[in-house]
Amino acid sequence: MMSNESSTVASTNPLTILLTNKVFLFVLRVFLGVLMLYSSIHKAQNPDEFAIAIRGYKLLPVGFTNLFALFIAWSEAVAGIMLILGVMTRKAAGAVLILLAMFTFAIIATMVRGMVIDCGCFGSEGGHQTGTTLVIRNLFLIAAAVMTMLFDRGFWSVSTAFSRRG
Amino acid sequence: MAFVKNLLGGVIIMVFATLVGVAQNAVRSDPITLFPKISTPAVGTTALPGNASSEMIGEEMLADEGSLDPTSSDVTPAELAAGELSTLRVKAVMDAGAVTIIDARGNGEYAQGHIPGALNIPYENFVEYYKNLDFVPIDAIVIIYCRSVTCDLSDNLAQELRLMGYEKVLLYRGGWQEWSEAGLPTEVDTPSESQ
Repeated sequence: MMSNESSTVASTNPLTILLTNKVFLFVLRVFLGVLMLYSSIHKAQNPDEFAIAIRGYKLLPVGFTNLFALFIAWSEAVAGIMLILGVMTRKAAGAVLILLAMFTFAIIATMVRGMVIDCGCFGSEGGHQTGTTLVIRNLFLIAAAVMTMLFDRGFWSVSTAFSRRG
Repeated sequence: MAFVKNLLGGVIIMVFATLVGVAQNAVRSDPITLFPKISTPAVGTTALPGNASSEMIGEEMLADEGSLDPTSSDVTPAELAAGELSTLRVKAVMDAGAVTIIDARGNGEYAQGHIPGALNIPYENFVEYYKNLDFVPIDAIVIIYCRSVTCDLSDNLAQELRLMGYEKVLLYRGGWQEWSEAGLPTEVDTPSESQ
């Protein structure tokens, strides 16, 4: 009786309904994956430009900015592809969560220091400036990454397809 | 626990991705230097005034600057080592025409007035504008300025240029404020287009 009651209560909670909905989690996963892959393309093709954007934040020693540009660009690309395909989805979402947390920290750090710079979010394309809007956007993306990391069921994923075949 | 486990998995994915990126960079036609170094001033590569020697460095050279003719059209090794020029010296070397002057301020400020012939490379949008430097030879003498002595855009832009391999980069710290207050020639026109 108790369990019936609790399941009835849970099923009426919109968030619970969303987080148990396979299609929603699939769309969320692919959305994050496409966003990460898209944002990585220009950076991976032009790491020198992205390194310039990184130096603009003034958070890292200049000598490490080029390697960091490769690190960010390729982490986004690999995590994005893994999310789209559904390979080790939760770990890929973990990578995205770490990346987004770093981006958000960097943006907040520029705001605290009174700087307004090109965020470099999509390479040199787009020309978004650092500011509150970007922080809010990133918080939504962080929420999406957390939901994928904790609740993804592997719906329409390569991993699930292979495990079923096996 | 699962949260931490997935985060650690994410770290491993990022390490793997970085290795892929480094490998891809190694085989591309225009690889970037993994650990870039800022080039040092190119001392001894320009004409030497009076008794200055190409072997002179540091304080000795700066002391020698006192004997420099302020109207000399050559940038001296002492000035290159110091990395700075005064208003008078900027005017003198600019009139000789052997330098590239870069305005590191934003488009709007540049459009309202700038040093004649200055190229506008706004540091705050350097990612969009750096390709305009394709027209500036790597061995050119470049003088960078921004608003005034309190502005750090020219310092930041100078660092970027040195990373790109420019060795003869000088700052005009007085910037637009000192230049315009000195009653020197100015120019008003449209900012350069980004690539």
